[in-house]
Amino acid sequence: MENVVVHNGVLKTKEELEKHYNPVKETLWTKMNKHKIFYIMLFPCLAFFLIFSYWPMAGLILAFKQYGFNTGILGGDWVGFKYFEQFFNDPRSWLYVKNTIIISILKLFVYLPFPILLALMLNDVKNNKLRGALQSITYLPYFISWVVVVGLMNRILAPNTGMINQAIESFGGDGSKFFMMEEGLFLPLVFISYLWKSIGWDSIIYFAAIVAIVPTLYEAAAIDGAGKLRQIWHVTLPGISATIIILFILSLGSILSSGFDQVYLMQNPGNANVSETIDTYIVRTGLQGGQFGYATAIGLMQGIAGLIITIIVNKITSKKFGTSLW
Amino acid sequence: MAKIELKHMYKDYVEGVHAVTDFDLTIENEEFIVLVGPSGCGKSTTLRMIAGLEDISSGEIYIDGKKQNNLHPKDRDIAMVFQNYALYPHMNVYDNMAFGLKMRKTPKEEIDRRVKNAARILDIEQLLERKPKELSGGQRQRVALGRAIVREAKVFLMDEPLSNLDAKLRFQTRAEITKLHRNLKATTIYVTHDQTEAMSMATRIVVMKDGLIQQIGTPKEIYTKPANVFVGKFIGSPAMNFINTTVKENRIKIGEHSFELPKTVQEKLKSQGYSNKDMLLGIRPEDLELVHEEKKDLTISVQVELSELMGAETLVYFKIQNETIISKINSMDQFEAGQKVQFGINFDQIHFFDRDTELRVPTLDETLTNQKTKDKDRFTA
Repeated sequence: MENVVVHNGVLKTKEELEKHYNPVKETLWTKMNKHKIFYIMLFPCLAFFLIFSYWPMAGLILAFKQYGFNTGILGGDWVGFKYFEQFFNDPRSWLYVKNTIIISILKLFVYLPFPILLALMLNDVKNNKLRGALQSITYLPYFISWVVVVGLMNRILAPNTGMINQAIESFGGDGSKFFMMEEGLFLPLVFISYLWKSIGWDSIIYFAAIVAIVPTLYEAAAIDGAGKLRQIWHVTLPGISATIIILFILSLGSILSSGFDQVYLMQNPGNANVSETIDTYIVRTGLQGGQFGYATAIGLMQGIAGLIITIIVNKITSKKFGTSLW
Repeated sequence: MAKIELKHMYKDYVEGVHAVTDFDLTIENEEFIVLVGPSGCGKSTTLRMIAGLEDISSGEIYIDGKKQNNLHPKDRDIAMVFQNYALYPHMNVYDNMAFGLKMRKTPKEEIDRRVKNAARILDIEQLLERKPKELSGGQRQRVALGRAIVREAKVFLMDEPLSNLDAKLRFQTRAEITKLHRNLKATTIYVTHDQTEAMSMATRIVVMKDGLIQQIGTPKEIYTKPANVFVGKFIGSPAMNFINTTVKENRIKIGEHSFELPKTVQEKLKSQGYSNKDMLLGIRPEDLELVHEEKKDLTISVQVELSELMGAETLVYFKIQNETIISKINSMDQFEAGQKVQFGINFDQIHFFDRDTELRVPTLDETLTNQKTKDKDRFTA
């Protein structure tokens, strides 16, 4: 009786049921034609990536070639891994890698909770107008370029004429300190200015994720005995954990690129030991020193390291938290 | 396990505009109260005020004599089941059920005992390790119930807990909740828009409309003695039929037919000043009986518009005075549109409503409190 089923009131075998089964065959072309609107929509995206991302990748060949202004990209001799060896043999390279990683850690790990906290705070502002105003105020700095931000910092922190030094002087202190030149202040200043500029913008995504949490979960938690902080811990954070993980993995790809413009603009002889990063080094050697092959090789390493780290972390989060990019 | 006193509760979302008006009710220990009414009638708002999820604009709530107005939901001894279940998506079934107890720092062994006991009662022992997304709607509903059960709270609040289930599961879970209430004996307040749920589960029903209580009573009282036209229409499926009529010389007119009223009804109408008056006549679909012969002054002859077979019963639709009337007959007979049939009216069960106030005029065998008549006099004086 195992292979027998009731079909329209009559017992039938599986073979009998399969008798009229004649699946419709679709060729790839008919399938594509059926969904042509989506392929048309996909085309500009593909074209963009091909032209602006994949085609320039051909330039990576420079990492393995002797570049000359007369020979061009393709004309020079192959040099194998010469530039890579040069980078690894240069004792200063490790200092640049270290500086880059320290700044990246500041921007990825230390910075991570701040936009989340801001989003949590904004979520608890019940007055819509006030919340809108606070959101606008916190995210406006994102639209100010680093040139202006660092310019502002230079003015505020300038010796004698700067706001901070004048305040120190008015309290009887020495108002001639050049804060921007202080090696020990470089990292805190990088962090604070980055926080000021980015926190509002980055909190938008977290805020959107928080808003998407079903409100009855908070009500259920309140009835279950959870106060405000415990609701945040047990409802909000788990509710936005997938967003946090995805954004974190995405940002890990650029762990070896700590943000060129900010660091480059804040760089000065006083803080050169901690402010020279891989990005600024590439510009100095490649553009200013004319070593295009060497700069390309470093850039390639940066990209590959980012890709490897992203793949590893993606794998880990996929296993551990069930959330991943792919 | 608790007596709940709701004293003149109001809820304003905009100052002065009441979403709930003067909700006044005492719920006795172990009662199963069902708040029923259409969308926007204020039943969920009332429940949420009892839970502490909404502030009360005016009035007082007492549970076992203790004022609850300013207590946080966690400090009121209540458990609640939500319409969308509100299960924590990142926790498995066990943790979902244990969460409330963990928050209250219940010892681990006690949590384990209660969760496993609730899982056994609800037959979800095999699901304890699963996350909510791996469960079906019915299973989620059981977990939500389990989460409330483990709390062993004095009061159970349920906000349309069955409305996301399919008809079969709803029917099954309805009976289970009733059984659970019988075993746990927790005072329960249940919100629904489904009158069948209200009728089948409640010890007392509170019918609401536009933020106002329309009637409070046992399911039988609500069904047999609806306070007004709204309750008559809302409770019962299909709804009560309403026909404009005039009481004249102990007779009423329905369409072209005239009927003599039973003596008791005549007397009761007369004593309340309703002789020679326009009234609304309410007839339950089952009180229209299909008869095979036309009898003058006893039957009404109509043309069938539509008939629906409901299983063992059939609903017959026809028109009287341009109003669609439905009769529920205990037969599987089918009728053609336009077919002429005769119905007898069960005059012992018909209801009279005042056409102005829409309040029911007591005419059946009942203890007359005459409260409604007095109310009517107050407004028409």
